[in-house]
Amino acid sequence: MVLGLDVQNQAALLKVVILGLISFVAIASRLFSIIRFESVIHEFDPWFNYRATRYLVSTSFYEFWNWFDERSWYPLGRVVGGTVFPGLMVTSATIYNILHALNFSVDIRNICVLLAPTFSAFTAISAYLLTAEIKDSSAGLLAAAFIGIAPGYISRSVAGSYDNEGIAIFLLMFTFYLWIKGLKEGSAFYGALTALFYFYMVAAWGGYVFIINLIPLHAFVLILMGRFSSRLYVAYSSFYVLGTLMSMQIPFVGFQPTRTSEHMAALGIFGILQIIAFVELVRSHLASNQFQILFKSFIIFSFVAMFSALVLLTFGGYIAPWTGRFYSLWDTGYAKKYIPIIASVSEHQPTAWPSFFFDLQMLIFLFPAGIYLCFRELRDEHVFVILYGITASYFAGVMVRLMLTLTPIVCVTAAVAVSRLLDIYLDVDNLETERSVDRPESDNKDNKDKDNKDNKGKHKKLKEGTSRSSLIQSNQSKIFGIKGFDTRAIVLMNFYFFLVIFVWHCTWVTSNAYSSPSIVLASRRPDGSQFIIDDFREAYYWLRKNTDYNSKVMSWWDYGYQIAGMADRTTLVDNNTWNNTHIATVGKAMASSEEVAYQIMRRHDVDYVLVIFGGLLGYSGDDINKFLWMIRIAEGVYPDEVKEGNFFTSRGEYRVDDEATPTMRNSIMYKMSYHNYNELFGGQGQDRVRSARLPSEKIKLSTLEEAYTTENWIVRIYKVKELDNLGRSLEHAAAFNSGKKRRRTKTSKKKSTKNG
Amino acid sequence: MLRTIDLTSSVVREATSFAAQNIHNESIGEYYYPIPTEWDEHLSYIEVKERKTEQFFQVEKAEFDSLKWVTSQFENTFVTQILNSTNEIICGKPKNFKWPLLHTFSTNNHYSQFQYYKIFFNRRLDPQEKIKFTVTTAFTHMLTPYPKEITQTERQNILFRGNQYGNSAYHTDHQKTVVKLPSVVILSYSQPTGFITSNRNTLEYGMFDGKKPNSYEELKIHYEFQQNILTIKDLRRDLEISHWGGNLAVEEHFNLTHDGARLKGHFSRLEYHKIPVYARHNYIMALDLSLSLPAHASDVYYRDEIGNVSTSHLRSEQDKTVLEFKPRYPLFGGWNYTWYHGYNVPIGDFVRYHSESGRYILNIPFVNVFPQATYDKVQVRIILPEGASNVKVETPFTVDKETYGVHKTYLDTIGRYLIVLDKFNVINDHSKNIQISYTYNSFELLRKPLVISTYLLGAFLLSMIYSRMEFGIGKSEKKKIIK
Amino acid sequence: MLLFSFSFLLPSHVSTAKPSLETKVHKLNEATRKNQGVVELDSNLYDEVTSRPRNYSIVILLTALDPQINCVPCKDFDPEFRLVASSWLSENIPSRIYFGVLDFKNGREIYSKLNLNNAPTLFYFPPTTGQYAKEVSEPDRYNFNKHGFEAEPFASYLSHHLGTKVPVKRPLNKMAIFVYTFFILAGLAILKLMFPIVQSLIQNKKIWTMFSLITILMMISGHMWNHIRGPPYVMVQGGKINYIASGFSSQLGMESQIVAIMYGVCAFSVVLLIISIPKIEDKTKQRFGIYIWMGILVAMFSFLFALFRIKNPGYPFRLFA
Repeated sequence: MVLGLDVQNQAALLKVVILGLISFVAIASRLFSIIRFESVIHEFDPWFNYRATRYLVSTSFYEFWNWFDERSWYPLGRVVGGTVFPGLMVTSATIYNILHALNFSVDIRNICVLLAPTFSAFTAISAYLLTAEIKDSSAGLLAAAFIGIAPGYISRSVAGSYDNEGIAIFLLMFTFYLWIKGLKEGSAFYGALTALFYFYMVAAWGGYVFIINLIPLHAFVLILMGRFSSRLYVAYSSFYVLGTLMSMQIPFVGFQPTRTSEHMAALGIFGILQIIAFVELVRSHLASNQFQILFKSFIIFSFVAMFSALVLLTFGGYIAPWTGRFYSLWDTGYAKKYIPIIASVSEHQPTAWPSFFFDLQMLIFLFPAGIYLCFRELRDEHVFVILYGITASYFAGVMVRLMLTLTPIVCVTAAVAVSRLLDIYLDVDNLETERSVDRPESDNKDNKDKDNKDNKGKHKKLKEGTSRSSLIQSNQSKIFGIKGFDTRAIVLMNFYFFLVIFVWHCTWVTSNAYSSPSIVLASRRPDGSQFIIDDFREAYYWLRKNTDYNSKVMSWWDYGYQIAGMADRTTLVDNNTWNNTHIATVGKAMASSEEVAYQIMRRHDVDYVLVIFGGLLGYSGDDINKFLWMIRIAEGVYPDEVKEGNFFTSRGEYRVDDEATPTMRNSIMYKMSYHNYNELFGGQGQDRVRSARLPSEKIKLSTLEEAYTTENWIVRIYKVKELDNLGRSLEHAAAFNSGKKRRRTKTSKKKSTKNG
Repeated sequence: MLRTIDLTSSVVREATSFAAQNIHNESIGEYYYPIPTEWDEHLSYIEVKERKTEQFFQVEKAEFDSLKWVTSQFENTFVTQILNSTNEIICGKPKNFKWPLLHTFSTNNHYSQFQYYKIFFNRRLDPQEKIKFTVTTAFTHMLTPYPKEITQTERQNILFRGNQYGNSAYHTDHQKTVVKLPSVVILSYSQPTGFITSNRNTLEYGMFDGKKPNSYEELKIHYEFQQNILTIKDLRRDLEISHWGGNLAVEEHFNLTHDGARLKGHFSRLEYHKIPVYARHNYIMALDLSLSLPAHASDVYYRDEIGNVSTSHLRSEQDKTVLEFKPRYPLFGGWNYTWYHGYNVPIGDFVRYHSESGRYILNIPFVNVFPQATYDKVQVRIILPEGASNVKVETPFTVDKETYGVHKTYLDTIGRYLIVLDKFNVINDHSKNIQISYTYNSFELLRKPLVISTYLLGAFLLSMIYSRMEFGIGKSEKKKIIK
Repeated sequence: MLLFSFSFLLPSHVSTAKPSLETKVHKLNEATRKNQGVVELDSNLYDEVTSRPRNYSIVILLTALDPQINCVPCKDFDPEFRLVASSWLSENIPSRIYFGVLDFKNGREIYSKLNLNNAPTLFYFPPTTGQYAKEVSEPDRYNFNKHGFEAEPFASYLSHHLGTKVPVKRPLNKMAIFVYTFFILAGLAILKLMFPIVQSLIQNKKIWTMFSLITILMMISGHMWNHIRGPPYVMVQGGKINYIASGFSSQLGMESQIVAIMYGVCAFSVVLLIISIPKIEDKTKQRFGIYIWMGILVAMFSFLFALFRIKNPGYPFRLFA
């Protein structure tokens, strides 16, 4: 009797306390970047979300809803309201308004920065709920602890990475929890709740497609296993109908749920469920022989109906085929060949095994074990877990970024496995000495709160031990439990050790890999003191303060959002890559010679061109390294003007030094990157990224002039010269072309004589 | 009358010392000092004090309702004269002395108009009584770079235009003008034959005799001025007093422009790298700025619109802390930069409790000293703690605007008392203490805990209600299933 | 690269006695008609047909079909190339474009002259005279990395250059179809015959368990990466065989399988510890089992760490110092 509470209340209190601790840990372990750098928005996409949120906060919701952003995708502009998942922005705007209603004058930036960590705490809690449904609350606590610190999830939810995934994973888990709950109880209420959170998910992340395919798949498998029940019927129908209707309210989704093949599965399952339910109904009312006839006829009828519908839709073209992103999940070669823009994104690359281990460490091999355990007691929710596990692991294998969807289920299954193990090896029924064992353990554990947790979990299990063992006995032949005390000790010790290592691993990964806001680079001086390389913001702020507000900045699409967010200038292309042609045009401009590029830039009235050049500092993520993708994407649209081959040497190498091909040297990307670079070295420049010595001849720019270069030369901004040039170049265009020809052949001749 | 123009900084300081005598037949108490309107709109401050008794005379802008009035005012009041450099006065009104009929009169219509300042002596002067006093004025934005554009490494020259004669609405017998220049490099200057003497970096015009009121002869000096001319277009200072936290939180938002000669062409990082680091300060670019903060300033931060700027460090001296910081980019002529920084100081350093009056008194400089800079507009917002009442504001100089409001922030219920002071054309001389006194009931300190506890209570109530609700729903669900 | 490769040809014209256009076209037609659509070249013939003037386009495949030069892509591409050639011959008049093949053993000189060190290489020579002549007269190099080794992309590439449709007519292999249909039918029949067994298989939980576990293990050990990137199974360097690729984001075929097995073993031992150990009645046996399996688990885990440290040298943790 602690605090004069009976055991049940003590358990409840413990759970609450432990969950509180877990949430705290989850949030705290995501604050490295704030402590190390500052409270700032990270990377690329978050900058758009942040900008949109600011817009939403400063204006009204309806203005945001039909916000036409003319300062991006110049001259096309972008219908933001219709092409964005508003969930994230609305969430943080709501928080903002509530706080300000309470006179908490919190800066919107801080809300955005801290949103993801906060939601990670919620994720932990919903993981607890889900796992509690799967096994029991002790497993739930473990699962919460795991997902709280699993790097696979932290990677997308550190403070400052203000992106859809930050809240989406919570929604994913919670929706699934509600679904399981609804399925168990067969309650329309939980079905409706599922639909509600599904709607929130749709509003928040494109990954909602995973839900709308996984839940039908679950239902379908259950049907195949002959587990159709009114519970399933109620839960699914209420979820599907409400969910679909609500999801269609998001303009970006619109009528997709009825038109695209991503959503067709759900619809089909819905239909099948209706049919089966109807059949069941009829069977319950009719005598068997009549029923046979009716049943057959009905089956035939429905078959014909479905088939005809399918045919009709297919050649009617009412159902759109899979969109590229999703299609590339199935035909893995597809993207590389046809949509370079998808293939070019680093997070769309397939996943090699080290990153699995990196993100999940020991969970990764507890995952299959947990799946196996789910197979042993195969209730409906276990079927769900298994399906989730298989599909998610497939997706994670195909795309690095989808590791995110895998992580939660891995945590859940691993928690199931571990807690089952602890159940058995802490089971008190067979061995009374157990308590005396558990005490010393708990003493030396109380320093780390995470261990603290699962240790408390053990305490609780001591109390629930009896029920547990009875459960085990129920679904297995006969259990003798663990007899030897030493064996228990060794297993427990080992797993305790594993858990500790796991915590270390997570902390290490988080602090080293996932906590740097890629807009600020940190490096160490010889004396070991940290110093900050802040070139990006230097350049952006210069643009912001010292250029005309309406000037257009051309850069590769990676930097579009940052320019819009930090420099507040109009961009041609940005990370929302909705218009491949436009991007290809920019790529073409970058890849082609000054004269050609100038025409393009004039046509898009570009004032400034911004390139990233890491050569001086050895910053490898610069534009010359991304150049090949620009060329590929450009070639996809302008196959005659841009040829990837022309940028490779005869040995098929991609070089920037003396070997570099003439096309390479004439491209403005090359010129802008290395302009004035030789002079800095007084002679031949040394490129530290590609470790190459540049060609010694001076690079001359005629249509561009250097406007600003940052301290470490990372960002270089060029001004496009004024129109008088255009007049001249136009009148000389024809002569000039022929001149180019001559030059080309001449160079080739020179080369031939030299080699021959 | 002796006039010295100080051009050594970006602020033009003009000190004119008069020796005047009342040649009127009755006693008068005021004196009119004219300033051309072109200058007047950049006038930063004007002050007048008697030379003997170091006493300040009150000054105010004079409004004239009619020319008639003017002439009548100026009718035979004063004449100032200097016989030799020892300012000894000769009495008597000279012959053939005429007053200007138009107060917009000048010898060649260079100055269209004048703003007159009315100086009140601390006593009335009887006829024939003499008085010696000095008028000190300071002007911003009076230096124009010439040539307007220079390259990264060129030197900056200034063309100064003024009047060889002092501003006087009265007939002046003798006067001279002395100009102090920042450097010995003087490219050209107007040289009235016989009236100019120059040594090293000072020019001396005069002695001029018997000049009519508001007479004008152009004074043109083209000299080298190798300093940054920084203008703070707009400064907002937020001073928030918290007795609860026992500190005074200061946040200052700067909007800076480099008003020196504009950068010709574009910035070349290569050129910049070629200049050795130690030599970079000799060029016209603001590389690093420094600002002196109070001695006990703690947790200082330096940010701008897109986040923290890492290039700053503190240097603490015995009586003050100096914040040295670099802008994100070197600031060339015509470039802009904005930032804000803030710090906390213990409340004891600025707020005193005056026991007999039972009032708290805040003493804090209007602006901090920021070398090389002038302010176009300064706004100081003082946020008193919640519950502060009957507030008094005293400033050592007149501010242009003074407004009051309510400011609400963390855990506030009725909001805090907000004072907003606006002033234009501020220079570093204005870093004098303003004084704000108020009464504050110590029970106000309990307000916050009360608020917090109410919040918590509300939260608990909500959670209780929520748990009840959940239970209820569960029940109904069960029913549905059973049915 | 384009310029370089072509430039070597220029002096070669002077060397060979310049043949007249007619003779060239005649030769080509002859050869084309002889073996369906493809002209087998040697060094001299190569220089001849590629020499200016040309009123025809010609694609030349520089390949190495020699068995001892084990050039797999050459072998892959050769039939496709001939397929396109033949289907062009069957469709259109040959004189528009010719398909030349220069094998390494007949054309070492050319290889050395173009200093090519990778086969297959394919050049497209546009016509220099005649109605189809374009202003670009340099040959264009076919990018195998981009288009791959199938006939269709190659044909579309040609049609892009010629301006007319280049067909690909695959002769449908009747035998194959027959076999397939037979097997399908047979399969169905078997299914029908032994339906009960199949049913039991389908409804067997163990099978499904195995199936899904194997899938998961394959996925989490980076099988998809192999599938997409197609790395070598093992890497042979200086006689010794590497199973492990260096670098965090790359791996070898074998490597991923090793990892899969290790995961499998770990998972298996955990499962045993959970499921079957408690079922052992005899105390000593049980103790024995626990020690063994725990040991295996720990060992495997430490191996995993070791392996991971190879991939990611900066990694600080390990099970055993």
